[in-house]
Amino acid sequence: MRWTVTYLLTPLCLLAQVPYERLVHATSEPQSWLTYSGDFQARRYSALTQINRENVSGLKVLWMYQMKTRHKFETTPLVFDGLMYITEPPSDVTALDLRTGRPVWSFRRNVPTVPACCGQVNRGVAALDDELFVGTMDSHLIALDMKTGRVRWDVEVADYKTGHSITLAPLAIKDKVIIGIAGAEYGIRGFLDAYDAKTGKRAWRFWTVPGPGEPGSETWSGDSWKHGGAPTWITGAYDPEANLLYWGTGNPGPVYRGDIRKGDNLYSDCLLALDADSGRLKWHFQFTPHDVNDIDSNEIPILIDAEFRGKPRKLVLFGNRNAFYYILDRLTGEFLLAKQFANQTWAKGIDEHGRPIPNPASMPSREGATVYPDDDGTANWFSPSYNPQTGLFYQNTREKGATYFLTEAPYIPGREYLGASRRSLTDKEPWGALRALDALSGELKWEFRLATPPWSGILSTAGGLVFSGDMEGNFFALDAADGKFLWRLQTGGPVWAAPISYQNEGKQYVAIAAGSTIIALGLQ
Amino acid sequence: MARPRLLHAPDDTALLGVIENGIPDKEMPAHWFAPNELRQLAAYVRTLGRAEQQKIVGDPRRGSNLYAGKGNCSRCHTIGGHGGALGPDLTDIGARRSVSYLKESLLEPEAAVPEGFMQLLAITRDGQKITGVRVNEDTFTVQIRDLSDNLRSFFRSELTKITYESGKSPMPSYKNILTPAELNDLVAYLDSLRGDL
Repeated sequence: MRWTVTYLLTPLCLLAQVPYERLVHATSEPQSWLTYSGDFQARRYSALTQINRENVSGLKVLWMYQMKTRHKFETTPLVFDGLMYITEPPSDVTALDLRTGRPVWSFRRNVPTVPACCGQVNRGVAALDDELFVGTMDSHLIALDMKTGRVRWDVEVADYKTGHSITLAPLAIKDKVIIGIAGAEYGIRGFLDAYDAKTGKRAWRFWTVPGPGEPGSETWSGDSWKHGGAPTWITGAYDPEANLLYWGTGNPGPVYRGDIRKGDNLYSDCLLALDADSGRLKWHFQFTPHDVNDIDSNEIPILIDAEFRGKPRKLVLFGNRNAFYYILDRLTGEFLLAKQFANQTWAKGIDEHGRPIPNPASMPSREGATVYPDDDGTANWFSPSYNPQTGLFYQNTREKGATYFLTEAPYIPGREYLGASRRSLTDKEPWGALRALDALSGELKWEFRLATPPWSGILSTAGGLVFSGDMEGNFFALDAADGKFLWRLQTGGPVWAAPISYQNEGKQYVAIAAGSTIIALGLQ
Repeated sequence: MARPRLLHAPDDTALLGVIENGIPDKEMPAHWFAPNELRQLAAYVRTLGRAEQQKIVGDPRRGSNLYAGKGNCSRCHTIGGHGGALGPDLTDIGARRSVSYLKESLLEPEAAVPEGFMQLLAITRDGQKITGVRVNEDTFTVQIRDLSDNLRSFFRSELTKITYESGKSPMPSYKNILTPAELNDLVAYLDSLRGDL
């Protein structure tokens, strides 16, 4: 047994290198899963075809790894060179042997109790050269030696005691590590940071709420910008050719009390395009100006090149929490299309410039106002997928409303900064669906109904498959072309995470975190 | 909540916690309030417990006999782990519900069906119709307790149709089953059920 471990790991350690060029060309290396969304375009698409619509019914569990805590398991593993790297909540990292699922090393971090709206979670690591990067609940960014899990550097990004936390997987580009921040429910002032990958020194910071005198500051009344939110807590995309980062921002603060922060509240609920070297803003598009319904834009942008209305364009696709699907020109930010893809009552429509027409009846009030979607949104951080074979954009969708009653919203450091109380709707059971939209028109092509609103991400593959999960523990595969059900596994725990696919020793695998377990599946 | 002592909130600290965090695995969700609003709400809830309690006019001993006998309640309900599983557990129903609520439930069972309680009509591929209460369901399966208290499990692919009969209840109205005096006795018995309190 000892001989086997030694035999396996020695060559793997020598190969554990991920130069930037390897990340740029991730699409030509489908046997690996090198970034949170699989590639810089954030498609969460696998070009592997061994597992396909003809044989997926034979998919079997090959190994499982049980994490050591009971928090929600939201990790997307990275896979390369014979190892799988996962995060275990709250802020641990473990390297697993791909053949057996056995741990090779673990990095454990003692994390204090952190004010966080939505769980002590972590969604994954980034890799660059011989380092892994992980953000922590207590708002540190840590570089680990890829071979051993030992700490190379550890920097404080922000003060966790004032409600800052890090839950997203970083994005490593060139010589930098990009990391966002969570905490808009606690009145933070949001930002996106870049750190030198070798030293941990901060290279730049883009404040997502401008300070006095800066462009956009006129969209905040008084000193409301100080606790204006606009967090950056889900991993974005990157266009190496344009050298632009694409990153979504979340709700303004206080979440529901628009009267405290009059104006459009830039750059909350935006998609930002930032120069990756300097962090300077190239353009922004605000999906939901002056949001009072907590409909963040902390979703994942997907970058594609396609002919749109007769003209070749570089596009960014965005399934928004506000129930609209958007297409923008990713070089200029020009609004091209918005199409509703789920029930919503917060807007009467979208105008020709992409600006929503608010519905006053759905704004929180003292008497209570009911709105679709609720504050969990139609979409959320869970990953969509784009499949170039079908031309479809796959989006898990939540159909759930709630009633909101305005409350006071004093700012107290480390305390929730909300301004409303929520009541669930008892007369209508919420539900969900995995929806396939035509990527260039937003038209619904098919949907697969789910018993309850989902939180799982989606993987699509060149094998003609779409993989996803539900909150009742099902992990399943559908035909990517028409949504026909093909296979499922009852995992025994809710699927909060997004699937990946990879190849090891010539065989394709699919992996998913469900309940407290990482499950690797393949054809036997 | 119109009781001097609340099951999950015996003191003010616990009450604040219940409002802020909800009650796990119960119908009570978490609520968001500013600290001063939270204190005001808790103070209001406490005033409810100081209100004059509704008078119990029945005899709980006779009500116990009605529960087991003429009312046939134990066919569908459990007390202390004994009885049927179709309806809600009544072990501590007197601590959770007011006298007027209990009376209304007996006279008009569909007036306030508990949240999460769902009556289903499932039709199998061979034409069987099964009415029952949803035990559990997911995207691919559904588990039903039928009106004979049998647990039935189906893959959705085995069914041609499921109808969700929201707001419906298999419980009969006792308006024409019990006399007004018997109704008061049964309510008095149910009110006496306080679980561990």
